[in-house]
Amino acid sequence: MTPQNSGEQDVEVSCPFCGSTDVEKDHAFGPEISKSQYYCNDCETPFERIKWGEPDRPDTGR
Amino acid sequence: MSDDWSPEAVDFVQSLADTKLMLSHWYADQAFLGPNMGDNIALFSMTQDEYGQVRQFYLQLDRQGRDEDWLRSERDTGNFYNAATTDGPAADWTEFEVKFGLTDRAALLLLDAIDHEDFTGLTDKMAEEEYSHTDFHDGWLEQLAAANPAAFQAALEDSLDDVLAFIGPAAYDEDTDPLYASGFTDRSVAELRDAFLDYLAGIVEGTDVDVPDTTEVPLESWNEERRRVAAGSIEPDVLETIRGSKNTEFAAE
Repeated sequence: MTPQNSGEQDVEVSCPFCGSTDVEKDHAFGPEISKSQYYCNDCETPFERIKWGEPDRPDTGR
Repeated sequence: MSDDWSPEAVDFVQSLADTKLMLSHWYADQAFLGPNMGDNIALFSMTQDEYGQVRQFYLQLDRQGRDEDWLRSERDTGNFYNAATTDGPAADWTEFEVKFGLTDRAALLLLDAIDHEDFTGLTDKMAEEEYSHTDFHDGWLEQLAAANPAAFQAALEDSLDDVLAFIGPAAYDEDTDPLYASGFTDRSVAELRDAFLDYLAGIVEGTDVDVPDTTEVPLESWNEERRRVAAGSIEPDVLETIRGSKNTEFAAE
């Protein structure tokens, strides 16, 4: 069982090395909680993605 | 830097800081024991976030006359104003997520409600850090509620009243909440409790978990300083750990 990651569900991620979008998310949390970990199926390279573009503050029901 | 905090505001910020201190402690305590390595990494990150926030709060409290040395290393367990949910460890991962994930969410609501010039910018930065915490906890809470509803329900029934007591008594509405009335916060406790319960309903929606009927916190039995009804406190061995007493013994002059 792994946690869901609501912040990234609709984000298209491409490989920073070869540009391929044939990538898989290994885990929602990489070396830091603010990063997620991916693997590129084309160039077979792991990479990390900063969770960029998510809202600045969590929804507090205001 | 202003010096116009009310005594209630100083207690409120200490309670927020002490709760974050204990969340940091329990996140670190669990950080080698998460369900998988990614979760352990997340727990270490959250440990650092919370502890960093605690340091900022203690600086603010020191400027309001609540001595930082006393806060860090000189007080007894009864002078910690942490949420009752953070007095002790969790028995398993479901209980961990329910009692600490929900306490983290409640702390975010209290933080987000602060509307005072001394916190301009500071609460923005802290809330940005908390985005990752909510991302982590919400994912796990939704998943555990769906996968282990009975265990989730039991943990929720154990923790919910204490989490709500940390937010405060429902009787504190816009007319009666002293922090709202003084302008230190811009949402009353009653509104924050509603926001928390709405959030919780969203977490368990579509699962077999029901949000338990909550016990209204009676004003006369609510401890304003420690933001709880329950007795109890952290254990002496935990106090020694968070003070770093043994590190101090070996510190170089």
